[in-house]
Amino acid sequence: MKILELKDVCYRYEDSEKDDYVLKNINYNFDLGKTYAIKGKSGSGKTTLLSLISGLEKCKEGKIIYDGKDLAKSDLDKYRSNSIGIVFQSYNLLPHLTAIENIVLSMDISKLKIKDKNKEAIRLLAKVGLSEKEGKRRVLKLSGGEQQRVAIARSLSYNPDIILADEPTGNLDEQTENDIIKILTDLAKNENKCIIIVTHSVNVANKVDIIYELVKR
Amino acid sequence: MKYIFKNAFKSITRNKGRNILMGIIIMVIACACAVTLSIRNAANKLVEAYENKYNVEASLTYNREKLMENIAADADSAEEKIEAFNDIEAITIDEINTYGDSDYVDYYYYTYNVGMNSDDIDAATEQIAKVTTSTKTTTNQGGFPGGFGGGSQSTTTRKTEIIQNMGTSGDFTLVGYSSYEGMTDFVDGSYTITDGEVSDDFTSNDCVINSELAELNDLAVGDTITIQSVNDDDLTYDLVITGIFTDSSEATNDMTSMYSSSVNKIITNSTFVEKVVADDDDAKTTITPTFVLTSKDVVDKFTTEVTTEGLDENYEVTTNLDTIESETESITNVSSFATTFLIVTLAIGGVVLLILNMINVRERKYEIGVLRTIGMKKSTVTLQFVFELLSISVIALLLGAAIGAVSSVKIANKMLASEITSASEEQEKIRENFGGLGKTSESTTDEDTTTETDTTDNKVDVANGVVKISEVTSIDAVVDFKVLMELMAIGLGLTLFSSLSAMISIAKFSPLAILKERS
Repeated sequence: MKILELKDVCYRYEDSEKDDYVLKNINYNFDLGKTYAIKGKSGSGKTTLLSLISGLEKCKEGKIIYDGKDLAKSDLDKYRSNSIGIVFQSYNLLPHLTAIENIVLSMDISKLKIKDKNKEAIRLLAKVGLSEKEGKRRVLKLSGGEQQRVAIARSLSYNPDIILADEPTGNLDEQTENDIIKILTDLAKNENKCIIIVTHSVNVANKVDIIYELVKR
Repeated sequence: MKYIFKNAFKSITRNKGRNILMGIIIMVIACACAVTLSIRNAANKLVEAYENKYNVEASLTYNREKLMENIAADADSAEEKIEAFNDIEAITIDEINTYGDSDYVDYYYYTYNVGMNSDDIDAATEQIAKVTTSTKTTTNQGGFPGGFGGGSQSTTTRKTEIIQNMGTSGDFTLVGYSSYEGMTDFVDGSYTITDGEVSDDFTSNDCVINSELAELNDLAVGDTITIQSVNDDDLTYDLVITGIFTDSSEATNDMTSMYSSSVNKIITNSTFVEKVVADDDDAKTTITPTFVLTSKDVVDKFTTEVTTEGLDENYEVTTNLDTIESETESITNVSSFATTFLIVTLAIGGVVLLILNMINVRERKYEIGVLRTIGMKKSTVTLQFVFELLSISVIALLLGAAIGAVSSVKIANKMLASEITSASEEQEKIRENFGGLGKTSESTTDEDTTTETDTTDNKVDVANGVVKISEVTSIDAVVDFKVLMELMAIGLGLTLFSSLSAMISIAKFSPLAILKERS
């Protein structure tokens, strides 16, 4: 089932030349239950595409349709807090909070009515292979792999349809990379999520269902 | 919303060092504000107390410019000028009563003088005593106002006589007061009762006399004296002496006389003098009205009203506003200084807090980026930052107010100590001048006329013949509810002002840019 559609998406920076597009006429479709990899060399516009899909930037030319609605006309804050989970290469967790607190805060922002947020956070952590004990630690005291698991758990906290991962294994060793990719692909298979991974890694690209490659023009 | 407050409290406890520093700065500002606000309030109360003490009084005096103009137009020679002056319509008691009924007048009183003779007692004849009703007013015997004809001029506007028919004549001057307020010589301490007291019955035939006159005629409290009209020896009146006073006014320093200027003055009530004047059509009288106005703001309105009511163009309304303002000038300066200090403190404090907040926002840029990325709205992030600062501000303000409350009393009282002392001493002196009448202030039983003792109200109040004097005993320079509310308003204002940088930054920050920067 199609959840996200990119229609003739173009993007150029405001201070750039008129025809100097970072992205031009991108037409991609994303379905629920599948894993996607967006590949491309540095400067090909991967991060820009990610920021457009995640609603951190507005698409000025073309359309991004989420669940039948044009993102340009939607509340992007609400989209980010309820419909799409973002996992970054550098985790982007709040260092002064514990893993559980990071997840609970995300639930609070989404305004979802969850009876016992702490319990749900512990359940999500268990899903990504972390114990309650680890969940009670400040995130800075966790390893890189553990922090990325927390970031994935946080992205799942409001049960979004799409999980967008920007180089999620870029800072991790091979074993941990495999573990993280497995978690993400399992989420697509078992929970019918649409997983979009922006990556350089051939290993990661080989484990997804569909690969989109951006070419620098 | 609950999570915003929870998050804010977590941030406060996380950044202890910076928040304590901000708290200390706000506390210092709050302390300075508490002190300056309480000093300003105390000074304002003191000014109010002075304004109550020195009621805004309006008198009807000659309009010298107009008078000169009119007399010059009608007369050429000195004799004609004197005649023209004598022809000027005098203010009547009916007029005084009409003006006194004005809504702008709180109450009014007048002094009514008439010359009298006596076969019963001897006047002090070593020198003709001057007709003086107040040491602070003009002593004007037959002189033209404006300079020709002799007589000294008033140096103050507090009270000015209106002399009719070239002043009084006769061996004695019978002075009738309509109320205690008119007895300014007793209020300001020129006259002091040494035996007996001033009668509180303003319809009786009681009187008080100078101690020198009493000594000359071997008179004492309780004796009765008989006086008679200067125009008709058959018109005689008996007066009972209820008190004997001494005159310590500057007029007694006249080295050409062995007596004080008030030696032949017999002080009674205006009702008695009115009766004497009613019996004698040729009596030469002097009337001095004083209107106590409801506030200084109604002076112009009262002036317009009496002019409309038909006040003769040769008269004008004069007030004691200059005196009041000069009395309160030093205190007003303290208040102005406090206000200036408050503004400077707030300006410096506000800028320091603004800078600290800018640093705070820059330090927490990453946190803002993460919160925005996971969907927190700009307004919610801003609210969290403002709430954090507000929480610190409230705690610091309360601590600052507490410290300010302790120190402000000492500082304010020290700054205004001399004013308190002089105000208290003056009240005690007034009591003594009236022969201790002030002691009855707490014994009155009439609920309608009872004046509650207010530490800032030292108005001399007369009701049912009882003088009630409350006094300034201390300056209330405390951090009261009003100051606390002002502090809270200042705190809220400062918080919002210093949060401006956070608000603007959060609105401008791009979460993606922040996170890229971080990566």
